[in-house]
Amino acid sequence: MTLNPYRATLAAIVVSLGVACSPSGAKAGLDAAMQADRDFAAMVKKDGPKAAFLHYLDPVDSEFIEPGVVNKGADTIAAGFDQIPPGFTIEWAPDSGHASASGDLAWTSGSYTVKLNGAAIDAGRYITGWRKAADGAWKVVIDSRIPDPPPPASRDADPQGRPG
Amino acid sequence: MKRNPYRAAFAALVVSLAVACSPGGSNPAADLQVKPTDTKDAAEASLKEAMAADQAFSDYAQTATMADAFAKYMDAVDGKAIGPGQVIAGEAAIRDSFKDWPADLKMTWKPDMGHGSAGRDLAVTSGRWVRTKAGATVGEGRYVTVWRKNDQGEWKGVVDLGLPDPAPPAKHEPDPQGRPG
Repeated sequence: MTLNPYRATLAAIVVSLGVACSPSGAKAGLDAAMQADRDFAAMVKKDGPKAAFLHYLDPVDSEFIEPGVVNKGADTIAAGFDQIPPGFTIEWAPDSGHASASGDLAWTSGSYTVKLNGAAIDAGRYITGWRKAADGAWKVVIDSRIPDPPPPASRDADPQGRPG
Repeated sequence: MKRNPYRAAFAALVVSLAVACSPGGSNPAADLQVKPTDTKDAAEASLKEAMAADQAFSDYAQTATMADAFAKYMDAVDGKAIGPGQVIAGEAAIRDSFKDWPADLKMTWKPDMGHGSAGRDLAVTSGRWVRTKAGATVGEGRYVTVWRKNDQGEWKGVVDLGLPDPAPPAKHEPDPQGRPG
């Protein structure tokens, strides 16, 4: 079989362009971090928040920023779920983010809802920083969230007709 | 001259790879001359640069208006400020959010932790912020800011979220006349 030089040239161009232009860096990093974030939320639903946080948080470097306190490390952060009542869950979905060109750091953001027995008790937006671990898995390194403002107080008419 | 087909294919491969992988001006991957052993150092350098930008942002806000400081240090297009119940995106909207900010209300902050990327193009910083009005503290808390290096090599904030500390418990001063309650 003789190799047609033009066909060989074309094949070489296609292959090399395919390799060189494959989604890498920022695009692949963001896709992977967004998927990790969705998988994290799915695991909370399936296995509960403690197991999911232990799985997705960086064991040492994770920082959870709560009002007035920063909890550090997966064990410490996940221990916060030890006393949760039955029926407690957190739901979220990422809707935006960005990743580094080196594909090792990313952030995601979206809306979250905390529910107790199906009723929303808190909702707002979160931001999560992700770092790719040595084994290629994306782990949470920083997380913070800000609750939505409380809904305006309803001013039901006083049953006795008192003003105010 | 008879062309060697393999040599032609090889030349095409080299040329197409060179073109496809050329920096092309804004290709951040071109900066990624990072060996695995250098990854940790590069990530730390990235964080150090972003923390310097974060501190410069706070310093600038002491003399400039908050609107001008955010315009200077946040990405004009992709910059987002996440507040309670809202995401304010882009320079015009962020400027507008400060239109009622009193002139004597000041905000200072200082990054104290974060993470950087090995590619030297993305970092996240966090620290404490304090708001003062006429010198008195009127609010404090913690923030998270994500930074991205632009094509000019400047670090710009792409997302910022500030979380207030919980309100302190109400003070219960004893009644000067000794009355209970």
